[in-house]
Amino acid sequence: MEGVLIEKIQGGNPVAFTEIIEKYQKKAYYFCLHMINHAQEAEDLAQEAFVRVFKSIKNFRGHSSFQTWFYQILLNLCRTHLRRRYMLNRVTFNFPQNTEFDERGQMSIETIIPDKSWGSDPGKVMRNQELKTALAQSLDQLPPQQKEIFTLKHFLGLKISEIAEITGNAEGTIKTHLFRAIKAMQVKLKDFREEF
Amino acid sequence: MECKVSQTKLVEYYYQELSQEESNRLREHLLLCPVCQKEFTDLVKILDNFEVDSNIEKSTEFWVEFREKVWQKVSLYKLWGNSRAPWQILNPLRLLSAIGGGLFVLLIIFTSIKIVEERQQVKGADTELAQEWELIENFDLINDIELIEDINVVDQVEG
Repeated sequence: MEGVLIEKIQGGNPVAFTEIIEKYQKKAYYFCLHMINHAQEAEDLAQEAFVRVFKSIKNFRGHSSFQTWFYQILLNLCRTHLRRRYMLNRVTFNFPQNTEFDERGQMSIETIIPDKSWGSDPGKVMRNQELKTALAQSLDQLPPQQKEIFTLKHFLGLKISEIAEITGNAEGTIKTHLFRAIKAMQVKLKDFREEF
Repeated sequence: MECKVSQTKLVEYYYQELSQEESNRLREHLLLCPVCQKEFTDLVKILDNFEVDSNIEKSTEFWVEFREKVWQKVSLYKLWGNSRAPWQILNPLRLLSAIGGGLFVLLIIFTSIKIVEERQQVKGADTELAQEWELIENFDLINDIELIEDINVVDQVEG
């Protein structure tokens, strides 16, 4: 099915390309959003990934699935962007609260962690807010590779074998990073165990 | 199944990545082992709190606009090919770098011209000095000739 779509794009069919964008746009956008924590930049990067697909689709030979190829492009774009951001010393560790995006377009806690029903108890609401902050921070403070793998696994729902193909690592390495990422977050969130 | 092994498998179990056989073995272990039960419950609680997509669902307009923007960028690529469009080259940071670089080059050219001019001036001054010096050197001789001529005139007058 997807193979036919790719062939159509390679043949210059604009409808097929729009279909591919429709299919992957949400995953691409949310992946970038979790990776770089900035709404506008995430949107730009996701769009750039599709432009790269358009540029290189004729070179796509189908040795891997289109999904793997696309996420490789996306991952490389995010890595380059984060490296550039690091070089420009623009890494931010603050977590804006209560708005979906702040004035700089950064993702808020509400966006990362959904609001669960905690009742109207002010103490619980405050504690819930603290928990959200801690969850977001625990994710953001993971080493880059662990964050990448956790994001690909948890938010894109990819299989370990697919992540291994995208990142070029062995499946065992992916499992180890995933386990360590979750363990690291558990350690950081130990104060909130009772809240869950 | 040992606890150490099962705990590394808990993540895979949560994401349903284990084979049927492994899942069954782990499930049996979880029923018997309170430590792993606790570990798995903690894991589920944390990972379930990261469910996000439904909460940050964007409007249909956002996605329509998203596709339009992709097509706009693709059109630019068609227009400019692999080379960058002028406004991509002239982003503020690059523009500042270009202006800075240009000013630096101008400064070097200006300084070089000034140095050359100063050297030429010094050389000119040297030439003038040399000419003057020559005059000074020859001054006595000229004077002498004039004096001799004057003496001759005086002699003639006196004579």
